[in-house]
Amino acid sequence: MGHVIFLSTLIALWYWLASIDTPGGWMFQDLFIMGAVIGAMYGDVKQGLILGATIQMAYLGVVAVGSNLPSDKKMAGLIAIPLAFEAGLDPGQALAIAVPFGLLGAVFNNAKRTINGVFYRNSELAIEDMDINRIYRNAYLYPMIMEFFLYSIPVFAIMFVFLSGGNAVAIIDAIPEWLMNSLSLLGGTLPAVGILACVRLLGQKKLLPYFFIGFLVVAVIPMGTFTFAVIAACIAIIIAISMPEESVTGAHNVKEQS
Amino acid sequence: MFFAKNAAEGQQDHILSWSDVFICFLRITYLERIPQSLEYFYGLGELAGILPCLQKLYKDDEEGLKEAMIRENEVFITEGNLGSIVMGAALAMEEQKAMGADIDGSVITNFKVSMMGPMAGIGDTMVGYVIVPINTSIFLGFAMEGSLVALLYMPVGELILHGLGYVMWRLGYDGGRIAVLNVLQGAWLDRIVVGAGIMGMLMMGALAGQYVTLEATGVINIGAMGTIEFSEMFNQILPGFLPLCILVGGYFYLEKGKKATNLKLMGIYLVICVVGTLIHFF
Repeated sequence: MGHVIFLSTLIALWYWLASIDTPGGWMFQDLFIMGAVIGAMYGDVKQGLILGATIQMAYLGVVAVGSNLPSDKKMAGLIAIPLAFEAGLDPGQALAIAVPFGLLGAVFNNAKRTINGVFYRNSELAIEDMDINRIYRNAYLYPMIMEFFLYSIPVFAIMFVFLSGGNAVAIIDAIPEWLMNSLSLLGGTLPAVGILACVRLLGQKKLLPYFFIGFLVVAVIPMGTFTFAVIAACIAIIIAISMPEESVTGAHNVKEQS
Repeated sequence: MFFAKNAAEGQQDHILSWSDVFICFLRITYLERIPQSLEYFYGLGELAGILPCLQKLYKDDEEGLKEAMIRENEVFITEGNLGSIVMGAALAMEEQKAMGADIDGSVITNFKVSMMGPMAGIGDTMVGYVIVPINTSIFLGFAMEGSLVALLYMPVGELILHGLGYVMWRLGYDGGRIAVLNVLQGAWLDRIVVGAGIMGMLMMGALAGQYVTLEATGVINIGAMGTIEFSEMFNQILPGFLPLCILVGGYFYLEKGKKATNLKLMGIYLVICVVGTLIHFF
C-alpha cells in the first residue's frame, strides 16, 4: 500500500510540475527523463527509456500552435509508463494505452487556461490600484496553486485506482489476447501518425522525395540516428546553399499563411 | 546589418542596464507561460516579465507606469523563442518612450499585435516542426537503445532554443522595430527554411524507416508449388514495404480526406491491425 501511495503521489506531483511550464517544468516534460526515473523505481532503467521513447515518438508532430495542445504527452507518459511496468506490457501496448490519457490531458490543459482568465481580470483590477505585488501574485502564485488542485488530485486518484489491489493487472488481463496482439502491432504503426503530422507541418511538398531517401537509406544501411543526422545536415546545407535564388524565394511566406 | 542600431534610436543612452535586459529576457522566456489563458494568452505573463523594467523606466511617473502596464497587459501570443524579438523590440520602444521620444502608446501596441502573427508563423515552423523534431529524433535513437545519453535531450534542446531566443531578443532590443522587419524580409531566411525542411524530411524518413514497423507473417500454402511467404515477397519489392504503405496511405488520407484527423487515422490503423491479426496476416 505504501508503494501505491508513494508512486501515485510522485506521479501526481510530477504532472503538476510538468504542467506549469517553467524551466524545471520543461525537465519534467521530457519523456526520456520520465521513463528513466520511473524505470529506475521498477529496477529497469533501460525498459523505462524505451517506453518513454516509444510514447515520445507518437507525439513527435504534436505542436501547441496558438498554445492549443491537441494531445498531452505528459499525461500519456506518466500514466502509461507505470502501468506498463505493473502489467508487463510491451512498448507497443503501452503506447496504445497512452493515447486516451493524452486526450484526457488536453482537457485538463483547456480547463487550466479557462480558469486562468479569472487571474487576468484580477490583474486588470490590480493595475487600476497600482498594486504591483498583486499583479505578481495573479501572474505566478495563484495559477500555480490552482493547477496543483486541478492536476494533482485527479491524477493521484487515477493512479491510486489503477495501482491499488492489482487493478491495473486485472483490467489488462481482462483484455482478450487477440486484442492485445493487435495493440502490440498498433504500437509499431502509431509512430507513423506523429511522423506524418511532422511531415505535413513542414509544409513543403516538393521536399517529399527527401523523406523517401531517408526511409530507404536507413532500411538498407542500418546506422545510428545521430550518424544519419550528421549526414542529413551536410546534405541539407549543400542543397540549401546551392539552390538558385528564385526557387527559394518566398519559402517562409508560405508558412505564415498555413 | 541586423545588429546595426537604428540611427535615430542609437544616439541616446540607455536607462536599462545590460543585466536588466537580460533578466527581463529570462523572466519572459521562463515564466510567461504560467498565467496563460484561453482569451488573453500570454498577456499577463508578458506584463509580469517586463514589469521590473517598466518600474525602473517610469520611476517618478505613476501615470506613465500605469499606462505602460495596461499596454503590456494586452492580449499577446507568439512563438516563445524566435518570437522574443517582438518583446525585445517592444522593450526598446518602451525605453525610448520613457526617455521622452515621441512614440505614442498605440504605436507600441500596434507593433506588437501586427508582428506577433508573422513571428509566430516563422517561430512555430522553425522551432516546432524543425528544430524540436530533429533534436528529438537524434536522441530517440539513444533512448531506443536504452542509453542514458538520451537524458541530454532536454538540456541540449533548451540550450539551442534559448540561445536562439536570446540572440533574437538582443536583435529586437538593439535594433528596434527595424530589426523585426529586416528579419521578416531577409532573403537568408528562405534558405534556412528550405535547408531545415530538407533536413527535417530526411530525419523523418529515417525515423519512419527505423521505428514504423509492421510485418506480414502470413503464409499461403499453394500445394505442390510450396508456400508463399508474404514478408519475403514484400521485401523483394522494397525493404520496409508495409510500413511505407501505411505511411503513404496515411499521408493521402490526411491530405485528401474530409475532416481527417490524427485521431481518426489512429482508429484506421487500429482497425487494420485488428483485422490483420484476426485473419492471421500479420
